[in-house]
Amino acid sequence: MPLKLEYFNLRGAAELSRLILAYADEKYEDCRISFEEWPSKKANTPLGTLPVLTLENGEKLPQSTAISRYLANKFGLAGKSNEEKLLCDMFVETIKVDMWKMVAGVAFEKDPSVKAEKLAEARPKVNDWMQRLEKYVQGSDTVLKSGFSWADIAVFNVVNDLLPVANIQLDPKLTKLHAVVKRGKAQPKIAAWLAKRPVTDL
Amino acid sequence: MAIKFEYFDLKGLGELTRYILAYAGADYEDVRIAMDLWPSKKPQTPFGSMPVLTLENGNEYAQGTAIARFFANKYSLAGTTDEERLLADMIVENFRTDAWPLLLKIFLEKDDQKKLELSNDARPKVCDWLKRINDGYVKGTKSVLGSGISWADFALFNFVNDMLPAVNMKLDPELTRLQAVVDSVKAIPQISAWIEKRNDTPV
Repeated sequence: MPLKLEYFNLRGAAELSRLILAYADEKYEDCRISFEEWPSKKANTPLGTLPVLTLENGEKLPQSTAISRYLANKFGLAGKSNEEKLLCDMFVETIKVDMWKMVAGVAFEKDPSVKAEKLAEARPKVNDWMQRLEKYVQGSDTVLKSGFSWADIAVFNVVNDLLPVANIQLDPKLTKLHAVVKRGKAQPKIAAWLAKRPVTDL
Repeated sequence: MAIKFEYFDLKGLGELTRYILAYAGADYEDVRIAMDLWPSKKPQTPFGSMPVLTLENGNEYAQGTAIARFFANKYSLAGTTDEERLLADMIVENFRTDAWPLLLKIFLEKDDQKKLELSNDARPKVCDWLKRINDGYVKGTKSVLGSGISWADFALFNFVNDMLPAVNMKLDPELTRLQAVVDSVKAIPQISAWIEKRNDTPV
């Protein structure tokens, strides 16, 4: 039984895992649940949430960042030392917990004037986080000195897939982060996935 | 230079790391930043946030869960297989990323009516998560992981012992598998000693 990743038909919180799987060229079932079928499926998920990863042994596990880290560990993308793992986790937590909350708030807001307010609040905050992350990029185009890792994929994912939805751009002065994004985009397996993945708003 | 762990004078999101360090008997500087000093300290921190970890080599790191996991890895409390690590991460992420913000919002709400509404909204969600974890994800008799004690046990203990009471919630006594883990952690000498000596705070 191959790995199965279930999520909505969105990039959202699952795309980091899909990008890692694409990079690792790992076969998996990319299962997309429609909003209509979700209420009936919800009770059968471990915590009533998506995404859910089903392992080869049938075990089902939720929590998007935990899933991404599992895949990063599995494919040797988590860093070479305990301190490197901490650095990756610091990047991912900033991106997937802090930045995500602010930016998703803008993206999901329907009222245009509230959306504009939320955007005005989010933009400088995101810029501030990005400036701080920029200082922690240790390689010339990778977060870690030891090479490519899931932290690079997380940076690529937030800049390429999330920020534009809220109409936020990465400050051009942050040249190291731009180099990381550029390298991510150019990875052949990632580029191939970007070309073939379903196109969704979020 | 000893390891330095800086946080507010709270349990909050710092206590999980303090439990791990207490269990490991690690030497470290447990620095507490007073709220009125925070505005001047904030710009000096890596991410304008707490906690901050300073390693022996002088490198500074932010992000509470990342820091806790660093110590879990360092002291072999993270799990013995990739799947165990995933299970521990899942538990920790559910408590700290999903549940804690709901509880914190209740704790900080000053208006009693709004507090009650938030509480009534959060309670079924939290109870549902705890039940599902109890029924499906406690693999040991006294530990979350089948292989024995891990940081997931400390995260659970922190959630039940420190976070739920702050908003007047408690663990459903029917969730006996979770209760067994909580009781087991409480009985660890280093943990009970730490609880005895720490400066207790409301949250």
